[in-house]
Amino acid sequence: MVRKETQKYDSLTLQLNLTRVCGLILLGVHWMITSGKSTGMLLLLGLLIFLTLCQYLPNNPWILLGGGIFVGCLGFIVPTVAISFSIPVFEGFLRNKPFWILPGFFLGYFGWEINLTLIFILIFAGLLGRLHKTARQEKDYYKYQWDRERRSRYETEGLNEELLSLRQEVIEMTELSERNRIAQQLHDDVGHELTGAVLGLQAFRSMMEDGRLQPSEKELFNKIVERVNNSSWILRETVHNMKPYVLLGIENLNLLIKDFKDIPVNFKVFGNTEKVPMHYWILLRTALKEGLTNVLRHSKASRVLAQLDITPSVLRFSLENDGIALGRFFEEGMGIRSLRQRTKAYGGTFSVVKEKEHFRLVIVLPLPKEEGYHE
Amino acid sequence: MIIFKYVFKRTIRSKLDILMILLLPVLLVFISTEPWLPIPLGFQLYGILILFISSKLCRIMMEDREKKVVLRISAAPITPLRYLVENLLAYTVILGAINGVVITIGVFKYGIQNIYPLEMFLLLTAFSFASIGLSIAWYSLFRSSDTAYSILSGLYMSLAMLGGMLWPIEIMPDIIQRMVQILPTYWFALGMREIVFEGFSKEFVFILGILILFSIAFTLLGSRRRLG
Repeated sequence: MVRKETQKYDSLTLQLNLTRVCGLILLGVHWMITSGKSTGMLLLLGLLIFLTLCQYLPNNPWILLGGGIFVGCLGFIVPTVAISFSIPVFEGFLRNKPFWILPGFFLGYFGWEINLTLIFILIFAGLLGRLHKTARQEKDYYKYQWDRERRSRYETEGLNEELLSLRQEVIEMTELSERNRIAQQLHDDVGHELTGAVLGLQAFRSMMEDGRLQPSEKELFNKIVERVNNSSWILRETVHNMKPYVLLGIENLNLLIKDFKDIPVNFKVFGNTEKVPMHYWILLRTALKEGLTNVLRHSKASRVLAQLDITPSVLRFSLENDGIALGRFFEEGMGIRSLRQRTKAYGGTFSVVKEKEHFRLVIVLPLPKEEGYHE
Repeated sequence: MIIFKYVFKRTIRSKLDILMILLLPVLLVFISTEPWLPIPLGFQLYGILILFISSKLCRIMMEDREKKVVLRISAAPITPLRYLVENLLAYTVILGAINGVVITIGVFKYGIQNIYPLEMFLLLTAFSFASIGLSIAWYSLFRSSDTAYSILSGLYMSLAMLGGMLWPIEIMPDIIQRMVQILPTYWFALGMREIVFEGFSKEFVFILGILILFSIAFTLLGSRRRLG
């Protein structure tokens, strides 16, 4: 069942308030039946104020102390009010602060008429308060657990969505990367070979111009030259068309930094970027975006330093501001948590350092070992 | 003290408000029949009028809540406690001033020996506190001020009758006499009798204390929801 957002009281609070009201009504009835003197009204009003304050300021022990002393002092005027001490006793045990009502008890001890029924009622009130307290603790515990579960569920759902979108992105990027590789290879290997062949054939033709070749043989030779020329042209076109127009890898990061106009970013790269897998670049791009957004949002940085170190075995990416903080420090949000989990999934480590005037994000990722590589 | 100031402005905004607040109390003073107490009947009826005036005044807070003014005030650097205190202070000052006017006119008309101005002023002011608290608590039970206001007149008349403001309390059964002690109107009527028969006594101070306690209890009960 969907609960209304405007619901003000839970069942436990309602039950607690009902217990208080019932206690007060019972006392009122007892007063009307027994004495009916005007002092009783003073007591009832005092207790009503005490209970209302207990409801509004539940963690203030001074109210307990005041309530206890009030009933205790009243005992000197009207000895029969002792029974009303059950209300401070109930509240004292409910707040788990029974010692705060002891001064009132000792005061009243000299004024009240104490009998077995009174002791029984006071013990009963204390137990009832304790019972309410336990129920409240249980409720708080379940509420806390429920909140945690719900947060965890939201995070999982968020991660799931992110992973689904990432999956598509990785597929696209991998395809582009592969196209890039093929284009590069065609250009570097086949293209150069063909150009060499064309040049060779042209040289051969000039040499054979005055030779004794039959016209039909010359025609055949010219056709071969023309076909090789065409092939070279088609290859150039294919390479040109295959080359992705989207920037990949390190160029993508450079473009991001170039587009980030708010704070100057000093980006340094060390090592060979070609051996970094495509899915790492996607992670690094997200980390760079997230880091820059956090610096922009939570600090008054005038410069940002980003650094990418690629060694044969690991990749280390760091991003930090120059230390002029705003005074309000950021809390880990969904983006940072997601980055942490993705880095962990790739076998790397992720850390965010939040010092007084500093924000630093570091990602370390293992690189796949090359075949035949020896240290 | 901007809220305090605006309560004044809003209270005398329409002619009806001025009529209700000033004219009726003054008229009541001239009702001089003495049914069972050696004090003019107008002063006892004025107690009932205090209930109505306070409910009219406290309606400002109810309207603030209805029209979401409280929400806008909460966006300003004014705490809910300050809002409540300034409102209560303004109502008290207005009612206190009316009480002063009524007693002054009463003294001129009936003489100082019949009106007991100091005791009367204290009692009326303490009862004003209690009735403001009662109105706040009553309004906090309703979402619409019209609903609350329409039932209010019946409630106040019942309170006045049960509390012994219209006839002596002794004519009611003993158990009822004990039960009606939980009503502030009972203590007001008792205070009147105390003024007439005993003057400024311990009992009278006790009655004033009870009325103040009523005021605190009702205000506490009513303010939480209003401000929340």
